[in-house]
Amino acid sequence: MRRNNRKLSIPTLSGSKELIVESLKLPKDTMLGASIVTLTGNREAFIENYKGILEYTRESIVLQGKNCKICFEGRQLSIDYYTNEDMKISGSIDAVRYV
Amino acid sequence: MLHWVQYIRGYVTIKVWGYSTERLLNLCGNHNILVWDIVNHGEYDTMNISVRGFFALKPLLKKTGTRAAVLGKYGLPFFMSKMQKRKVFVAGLLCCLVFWMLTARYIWNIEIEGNYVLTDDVLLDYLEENKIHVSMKKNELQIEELEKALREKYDVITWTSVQLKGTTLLISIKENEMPVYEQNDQTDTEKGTDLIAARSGTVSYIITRSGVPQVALGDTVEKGDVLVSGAVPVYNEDTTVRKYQFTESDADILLRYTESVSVKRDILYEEKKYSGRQKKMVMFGINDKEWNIRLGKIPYDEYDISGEKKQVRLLDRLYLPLFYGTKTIQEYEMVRQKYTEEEMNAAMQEEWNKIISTLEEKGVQITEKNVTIKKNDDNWVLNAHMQLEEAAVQSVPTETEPVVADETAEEEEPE
Repeated sequence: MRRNNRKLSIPTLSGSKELIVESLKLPKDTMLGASIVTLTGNREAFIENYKGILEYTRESIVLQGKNCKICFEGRQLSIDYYTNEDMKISGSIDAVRYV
Repeated sequence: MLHWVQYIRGYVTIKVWGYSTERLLNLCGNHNILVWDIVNHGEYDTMNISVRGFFALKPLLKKTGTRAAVLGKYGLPFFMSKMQKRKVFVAGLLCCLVFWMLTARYIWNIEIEGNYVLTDDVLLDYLEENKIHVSMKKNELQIEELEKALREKYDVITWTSVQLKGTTLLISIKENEMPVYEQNDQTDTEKGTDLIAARSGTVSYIITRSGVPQVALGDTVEKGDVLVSGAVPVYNEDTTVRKYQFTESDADILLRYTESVSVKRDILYEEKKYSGRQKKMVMFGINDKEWNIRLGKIPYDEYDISGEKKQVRLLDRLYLPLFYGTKTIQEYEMVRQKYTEEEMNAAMQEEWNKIISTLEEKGVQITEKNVTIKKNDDNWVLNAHMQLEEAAVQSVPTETEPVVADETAEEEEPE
């Protein structure tokens, strides 16, 4: 029962944080630690605010975000550049999944 | 922009393989080592990394259990060290650059457009006189002054534009489409002009518009005789000449004279008959000297040499004193031929037409003619006796002594 309560309280807490950020119009990426993914067609993806690379092959690139993993799937993927803040992926992207 | 920075600072392409290349990438990101163009080839990855980044990579490789190998070095630092081994090449490159920059300071071509009445040659000669020529320095050229000078020199030019396009001097002009009438400066109206006979003959027609006629119809005159005088006398009451008023004489005068012409034409003639055999040779020349290149001696007794010569030129107007061309040697044989009667008749007719047309060109009229053709064995002779009429007059300044001055002076004195 107690466990259950605690489990319930987590979404409410994060929900309230989101509410504050929303109402104060603060940038969500820094406050919530959300990654920003900008897609240009299916040829390019530009990712900011991530932690690191988990997997890198030609068919899939998995990145570690703050809250979740982002998985790019496609063909002939390559990383154009890679720094601590942002990176650019090019290739033919078929899917972007949040795991 | 980023590419330029990367090129100037230098970078290497490396191949990375081993336990976890992803981890290596993450560490690179954390250590602020820039990597780009990361391509996965299955067993290994290739990526570009800055030179400084490559040296900082070593501990990271150890940590992640991966290995790296350099595939290629790019950028200015590597290029410079490569060039140090090729000094002559670099020197050549620099020389070329310097040569290019130096030659760009000269004018290598002159183009003229918009000229119809004035030919290119006339304008180029004028430019040459003003020390504007191909291979002159650009900064010696005063564009505005040249424009002005061109307009001043030629009345027909109404507009000029001189511009430098690279190493080409482009001169555009507009010519006046209305004809320019040259204003004849009225020559000394106070002196007057006489009309004199340009040749001897008989006056067959005379109408005087201004001046005093000195001859009458039917008079025989010699060359240089005054026909109409430009000095018109003003008489005193006692019919002595008080003074002369000078005028420009004007009259229609025809002088009649006879002339004989005789033309001889041989029946026999020599003709070059080309055998059809010919040889070609190549020629080249420097300045006035010429060299012909041919195999062996010319095997013909009589031959013509014809050919064409071309001058080497750079661009459009920069001629070098080098020539080249081909020459053709054609063998011929001199053959004695005889004109037929018809051919001779036609030839005589042609001669006669030639005589008439030359007379017509001079404005001479034929009033009477007597043409005979004498047929000799080896030649025909055309004799023509003609009576011609010609307006053979010349205009010269009047030469009359001024009237006695004291008479006019007397008048001015008050009585």
